[in-house]
Amino acid sequence: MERERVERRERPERMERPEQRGRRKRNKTTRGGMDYSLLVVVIFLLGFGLVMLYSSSYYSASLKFNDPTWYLKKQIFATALGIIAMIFVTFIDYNVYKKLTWIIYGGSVLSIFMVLTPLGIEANGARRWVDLKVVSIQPAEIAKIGVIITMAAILSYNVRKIKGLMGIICVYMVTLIPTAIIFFVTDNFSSAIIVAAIGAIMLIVACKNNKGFIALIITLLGLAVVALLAFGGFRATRIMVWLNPEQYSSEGGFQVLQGLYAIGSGGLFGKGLGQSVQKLGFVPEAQNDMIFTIVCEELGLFGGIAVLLLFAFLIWRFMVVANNAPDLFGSLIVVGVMAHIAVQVILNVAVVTNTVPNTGVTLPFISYGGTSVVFLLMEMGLVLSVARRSVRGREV
Amino acid sequence: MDKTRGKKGPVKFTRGMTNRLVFVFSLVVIGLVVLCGRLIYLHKEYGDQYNIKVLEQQNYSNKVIPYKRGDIVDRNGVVLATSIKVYNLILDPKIMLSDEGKYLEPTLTALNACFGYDINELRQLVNENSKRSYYVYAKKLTYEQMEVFLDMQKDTDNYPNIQGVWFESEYERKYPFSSLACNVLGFTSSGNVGVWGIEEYYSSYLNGVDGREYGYVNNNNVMEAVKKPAENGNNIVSTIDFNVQTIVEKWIKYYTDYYKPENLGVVIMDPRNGEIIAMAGMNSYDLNNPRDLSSYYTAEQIAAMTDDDKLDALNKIWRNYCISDTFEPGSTAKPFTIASALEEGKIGSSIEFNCDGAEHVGGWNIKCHKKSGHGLISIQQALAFSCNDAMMQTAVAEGKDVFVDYQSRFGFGTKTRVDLPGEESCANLIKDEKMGDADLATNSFGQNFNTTMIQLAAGFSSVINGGYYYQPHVVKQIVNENGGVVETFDKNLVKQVVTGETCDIVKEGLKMCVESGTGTKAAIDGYTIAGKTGTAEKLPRGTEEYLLSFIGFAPYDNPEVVCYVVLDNPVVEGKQMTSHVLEVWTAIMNEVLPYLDIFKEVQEISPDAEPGDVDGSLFEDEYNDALNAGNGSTPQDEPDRQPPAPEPEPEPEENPDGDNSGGDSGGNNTEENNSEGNNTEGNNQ
Repeated sequence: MERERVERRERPERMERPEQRGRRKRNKTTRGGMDYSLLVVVIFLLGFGLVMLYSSSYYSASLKFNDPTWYLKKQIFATALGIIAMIFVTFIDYNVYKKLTWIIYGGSVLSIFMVLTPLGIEANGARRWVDLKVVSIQPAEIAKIGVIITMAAILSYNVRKIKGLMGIICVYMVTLIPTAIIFFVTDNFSSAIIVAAIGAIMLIVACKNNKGFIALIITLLGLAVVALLAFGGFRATRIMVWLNPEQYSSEGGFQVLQGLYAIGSGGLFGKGLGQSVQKLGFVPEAQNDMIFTIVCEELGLFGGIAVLLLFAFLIWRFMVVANNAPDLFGSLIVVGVMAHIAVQVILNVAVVTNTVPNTGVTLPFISYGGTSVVFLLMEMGLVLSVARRSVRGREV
Repeated sequence: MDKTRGKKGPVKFTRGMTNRLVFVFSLVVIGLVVLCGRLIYLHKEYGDQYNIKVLEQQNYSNKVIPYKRGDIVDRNGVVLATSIKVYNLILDPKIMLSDEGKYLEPTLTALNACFGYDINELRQLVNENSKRSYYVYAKKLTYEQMEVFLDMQKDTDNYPNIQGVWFESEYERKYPFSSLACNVLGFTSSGNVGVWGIEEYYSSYLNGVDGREYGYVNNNNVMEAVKKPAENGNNIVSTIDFNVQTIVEKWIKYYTDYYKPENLGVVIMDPRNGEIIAMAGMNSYDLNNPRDLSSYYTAEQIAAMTDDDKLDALNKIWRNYCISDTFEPGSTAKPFTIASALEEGKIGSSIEFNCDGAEHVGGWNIKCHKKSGHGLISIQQALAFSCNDAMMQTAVAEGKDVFVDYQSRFGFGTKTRVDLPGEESCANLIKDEKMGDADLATNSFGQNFNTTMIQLAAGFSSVINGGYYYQPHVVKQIVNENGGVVETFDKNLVKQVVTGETCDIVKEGLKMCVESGTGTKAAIDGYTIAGKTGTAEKLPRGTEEYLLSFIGFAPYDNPEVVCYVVLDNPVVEGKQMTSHVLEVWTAIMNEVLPYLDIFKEVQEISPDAEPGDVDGSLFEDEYNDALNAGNGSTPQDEPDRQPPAPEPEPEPEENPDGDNSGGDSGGNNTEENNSEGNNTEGNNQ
């Protein structure tokens, strides 16, 4: 305790003042309120995502389902559900989750096992979906939010007690368990990486003396092991495809190449909204992982970079909210959400530009996927909820 | 912890955490910047290349939409030539083998079920061409065949995964009656290039303009798809009558088998407007398979042929005898000689010729076929009995200039400009003004100059229709695909050659020819038939090869149909006898006349009637005289002979023309005609 006090004292002035001001404001009940810039960006991304989703999916939807708005309708339904959830979560004090941590964690981890029940849907040799009759959901998305909340809670309690390598590993196990389950049960490599990365980033931010980087090293080591173990399997071919898509077109290079063609052919300002030709059967599943290629084709380099800038702005807002959070739990939740979105955006864009080997990662808010958008919006709700209670004046 | 919280409130985000968060954020920003760089790099480095790739992949970028070549129909709308949409089956092995080949087997099974193709062969083919996307596997499938497969492909519940099979449409030329009117119609090669006949002559009308589905890249590198529909070709309404043509070809085939002639041509036309109702030669071929020689040659012969030989053989078959082949017309030229002399006033209508059996011209003794001579005969009788002597006298009266002038007026030596390719003008086979006297004399009865069937038929029509020379034609009208008239080819009056009075006199002679002259066997019960026979000994003279012909018309008063039959060297006893060709002519006209709604007249002029019953003829007396003069018989024919082969032989007087006492006795004369010995002699005048 002494040492902490010393540390406290050593803090520069700047850090002290807001606390005092915050305390003053709390007395006057003048807390952070709604983070409108964050909200506007999210709503803009949602609207933009729906437009791009319709543009990229109407052709295949009319072919497959004889209804050009098939994907759009489902996504609008999910988005509406997600917005309701977001509003709900925004106005709930996030501290209640602290007490529900283990329920949330257990629930999200167990939900993954639902894919093994008869409710699970098998597609392309992997069981990643659960059919709840009314809707079908992807439990891996639930696991992400579960890991964020659990890691934030554990770290906020124990951050100062974490000692040594074993301490880090013990805390990181909270992330690694669902990671392993996702990887082995649903055979979903990309979701596993995202979950592991979320946990690692949270550890890096929370642990002092850069001990959190141990988690990153563990993640990378795990990745290397998986890569080595599976080198004979289909993931090895992905690497071959990555290095030389033209040569391995039938093994998946076709998809990669078509995406690249779409990006490259867009030009500076694109072919115009709705004018993509690559979505007409060339880029497979254009409304899913590959949607960014259609954005680049229709809106050009300009549109693609604008989208990346929007995400950059979103992530910057997360950083601000995390910095201004009234407590560590809130901060770490926001850091987790930030990690989630940052990792997914970077991975997705890296995959479609063939910067990294192909793996199925969706672009947040824009790609088609009901579960994803609902839980992303719930995460936004968490961030907004933290922002509402944030301490004014600490904004960077 | 509790203590801490108690003292300092909730655990806060420390400065270290902020720094590390800023660090993470910086990493994220760096990551995003790197990705932006990657996007810019792709754009800069591969933008154009990928753009081209994308445009290349657009399969609608350049697709021809074939037009439909127009139909050819007969005068009543019977379709003689049409284009049928057929479908080519295209395999796309690349697609079949995609997705781990899950499409391959279902697709092959479907192809087998619908078309009966061999699965193993298909599989091998697909695997050999795995990199290709376009392989034409089958051609010319009908819509019905294709439909079965398309239905199966659509039925994705029962037959999922049928992929990689396309159909491409094109048109195939079809001739529903295969060989019918083959010489008139012609055929097409490579679908739209007309070869011979109407197909060639009117090819530009029949052909349309291909449509095109294409894309182009506009200024913004955006693919614009444009579809320009095909313009289908126009339909051609022919003057040919399907039924008449069928009758003609039926009899041609029959008599070809019977007589085995070198050729047998028939032209039927309407003298009122020059429309050709039927036209056929002996050599016919299947228009749907025009390069098939098997009906003319044995397999060994074909195998022994070089390509040039084959082409020669084919050209012989494809040739339209009626317009391309020339021959000496023989006595069928006589009406022209008479008509021109009458028209120019060189002979009076009541002139009487004195036929003494021969004429001494230019050092030659040119004989009439009746060595004893026809005696004193009128113009009409001269035609009826086909008197060479009278013709020679007429020609002398005319003089060379008038004769040659009229030859060209009647169209000899010039193309009739019939709307068919390959017409022969025979200009160099006609004598000019500088010809010798013997030439003039022989030309007067149709020897020593050449003509084509169409020339003679067109000229003859003008002699019997009041003197109007109409351009012969086989196409009436060109209509577009919706039936709108594009162009009409009405009667095209080229010139008036002679006057009506002249025509009337010539016609009387022609009538008499059938009634009591050389052409009695052309008589058809119930009709007043008029016409002119012709027998020409072919070059070289003396080989006993004859070209027999008859050109006749009906009805007498207002001719509606002219039929010209040429029988080239029948292999038969008594080959010089026109009765052979008259048999062909009557066989055809017996069926054609009723079909063309030409009604029977009163029976009075029936050949069955007694000669004395023939009434109304101004020349009855002369006629009877002639009969008497001819030893009670009419001359059978007049195989003309040429001066260059002057006949030294004394003519047996007793039998110049033995047979045609049938003219008196009755119609059933086939037997009587063939008193061969007499005829042979008679022909050697």
